Amino acid sequence: MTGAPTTALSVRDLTVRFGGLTAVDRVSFEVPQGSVHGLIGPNGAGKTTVFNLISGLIAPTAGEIFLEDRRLNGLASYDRTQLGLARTFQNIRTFQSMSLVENVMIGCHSRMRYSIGDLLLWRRRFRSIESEAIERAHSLLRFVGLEDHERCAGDLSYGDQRRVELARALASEPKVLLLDEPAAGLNPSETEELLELIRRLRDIELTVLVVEHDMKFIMRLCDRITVLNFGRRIAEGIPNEIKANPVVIEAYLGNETDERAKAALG
Amino acid sequence: MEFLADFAFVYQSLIYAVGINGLLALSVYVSLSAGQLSLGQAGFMAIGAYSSALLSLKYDAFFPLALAMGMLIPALFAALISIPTLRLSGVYLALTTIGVGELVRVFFVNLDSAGGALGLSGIPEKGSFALIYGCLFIVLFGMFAFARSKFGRAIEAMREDETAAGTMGINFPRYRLAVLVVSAAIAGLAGGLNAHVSSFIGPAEYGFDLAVSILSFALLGGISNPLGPVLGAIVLTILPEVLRPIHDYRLAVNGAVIVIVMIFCPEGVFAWRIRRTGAAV
Amino acid sequence: MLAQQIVNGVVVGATYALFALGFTLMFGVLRVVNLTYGFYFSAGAFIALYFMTTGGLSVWVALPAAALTVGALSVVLDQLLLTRSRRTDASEMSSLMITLGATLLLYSLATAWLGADIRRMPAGLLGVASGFGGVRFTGIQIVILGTSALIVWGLFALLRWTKLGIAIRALAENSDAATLMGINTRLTFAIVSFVSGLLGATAGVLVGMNYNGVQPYMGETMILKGFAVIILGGLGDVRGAVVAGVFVGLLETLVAAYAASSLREAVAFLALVLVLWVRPSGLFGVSEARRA
Repeated sequence: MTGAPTTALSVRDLTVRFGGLTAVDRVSFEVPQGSVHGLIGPNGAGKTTVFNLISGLIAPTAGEIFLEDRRLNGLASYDRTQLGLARTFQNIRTFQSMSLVENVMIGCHSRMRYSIGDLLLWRRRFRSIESEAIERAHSLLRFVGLEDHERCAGDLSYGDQRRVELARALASEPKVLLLDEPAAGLNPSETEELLELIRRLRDIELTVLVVEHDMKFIMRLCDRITVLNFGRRIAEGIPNEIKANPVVIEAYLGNETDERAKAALG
Repeated sequence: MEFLADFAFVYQSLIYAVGINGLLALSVYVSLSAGQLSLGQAGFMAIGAYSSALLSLKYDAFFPLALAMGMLIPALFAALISIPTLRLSGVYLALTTIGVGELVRVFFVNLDSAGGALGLSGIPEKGSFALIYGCLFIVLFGMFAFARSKFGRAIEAMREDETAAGTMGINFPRYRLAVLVVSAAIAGLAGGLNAHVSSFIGPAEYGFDLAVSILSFALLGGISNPLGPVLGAIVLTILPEVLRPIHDYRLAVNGAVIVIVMIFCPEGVFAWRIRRTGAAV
Repeated sequence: MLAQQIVNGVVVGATYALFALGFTLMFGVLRVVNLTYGFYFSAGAFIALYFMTTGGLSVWVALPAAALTVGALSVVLDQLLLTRSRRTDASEMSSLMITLGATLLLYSLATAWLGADIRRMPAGLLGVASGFGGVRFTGIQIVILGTSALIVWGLFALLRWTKLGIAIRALAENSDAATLMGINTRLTFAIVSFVSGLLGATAGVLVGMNYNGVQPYMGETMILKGFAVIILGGLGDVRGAVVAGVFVGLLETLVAAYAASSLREAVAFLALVLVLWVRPSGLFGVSEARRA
């Protein structure tokens, strides 16, 4: 532990417009290294869009994204993963016909450095990297609480597939992990396990940015929270501040579909 | 023993055809396994055939060199035409490659130094069963080896969900390009081998009919593993010879196979998936 | 001379525009890549030829009759082939492959039954007509221009002003919303199939007349050019299809006249590759093809 905490991820004046609609409007926030940061807001506030911008699936109209001190603008999604960014998806995107081990090994892809030559000549480099990756995949799957690693991802339950996605994202040894509604569709005990899991990630100094609708989950998990509404940042602070913030409450109450949020905020 | 020799003699061109079609089916398999549909195989085959044949005929080239050029030139050409499509959806590539195939054919029809519409004849017979099937086995083996590596997994991931694969760090435009180049090289190899066992090639052979037929081989066998397309090629090459009634309707059968398989059985007939791990075991 | 070539080019372009319209409707509206569309082109020409020779009908009757017949045929075939793939994520690729296979099946059967020889349209068809300023228009060319203009205008009117047209455009924009709004997607799909088939067949007859040659595989080269045209004009963009069609026809004719006639077939394809390199959304299209 040396010196002041560095910023793992920073987003400055991030803006994206689709035709006439401004989906994200000058959003800025910074996530210190090793912390867990929440991104919340009513439905349609632009949270997943922000994720897509950070992970490189959409190009911003304006604004910048930094991973540590590296500017990400213009880089393709695969280059960002190479630099240490990983994500999960709101609507699960595991590779259905592949086994759990294979799914997680795909996550290892960017860290497995061998060439075609190594493969064709059956070099030890190739073999050892492959077996290390298999080992790593198995241990990550155990870490997220999954047994039977040879099953097809498509055969698993929703909750279990979320675990696979998490293991897969972790496999790329990221510096920053983006979790897109990881608790969606989970029952209370599963949600509790997930909370534990993410807390353990903090122990290995991973920085996490979470989008979630489950308020209790976010309040218990996050160090700081950024609140979006209609694509703009309306509040930012520690959980207790956010809970009591009248602007935030207004945003949620004004949006009648977010019943759970209303209840959770009290 | 003599029976075998007679058999081989009578069915010589059929046995060659099975091997060549197997290679062609593998070439389209390569692109399909990454979720890309490249239908330019016939055009790449033509380029490979003509390049190697011209080298043999006009320059009496060292045969392996001629074959190698017959693989390299189509590969370069494939790289060139596919670059603009790397970031676009698969349909663009598919239709562009059909167009390329046609264009190549028209090119050779008009190229008098390559015999024009009459084609090239008198190509030295340097091919053989051993060479054709040897190449086929090597390519098959290479594919199985590939499958059990990070490359094979990346390709399958791309096929399932290219965007997600990208977020996992897979440089999918580069893989798309590589896949097309390899596919073209294999088709070129098939062309070169075919030219050197048939002693005659002409532009009419490499048109739309062939391009779509190649697809039918791969789809019939199924694209979960490299053996499927080869088996599909074997069936669709031998069947018209064995069943006389459908002999003249060979093309119609291939077309029908595609329609029926895609509607009723998209996985193909020989669908089993190769494990993508275990390379180090 | 130049003016004559321009006229010839525009005439050819008009047929391409017609063809491209039907193609872009299918692709842009229904998100299906329907390669059997090229077959409709050939079929239209053959059926019209049949009506004129064996049936003894005049071209004014034969053309619409052939177009309507093929329209009906296309509804049936499209239902058979494309219903399965319409609702899936991979609808474009799977419809492409299915129709590709169907195309091979249909072309090869047609060749087996009708022979691959080029057939000629009945002699004396509409004869030579007027001219001014040293530019001659044959009767066929006038018919082509007139028919194309009429059909294009009719289609635009349909799309713009009728309830059906609005339904079609709604389906093109957002098929889920359209269904929720109560639009009968199956019926609309069938109607679009019908209209496409009609357009393709008409183009086939007109081209067959213009070049005085009809053969089973003529649709196959046409479909590739059609693809180039609709990419140039922007996918699903009907105005773009018309402009791009005329442009390609003009370009082809000029290249054939002033460069080399053997380059003619390459023009459309080269234009396609160029457009894909530089501006995949086409000359008019909205950028939907690119990703981040």
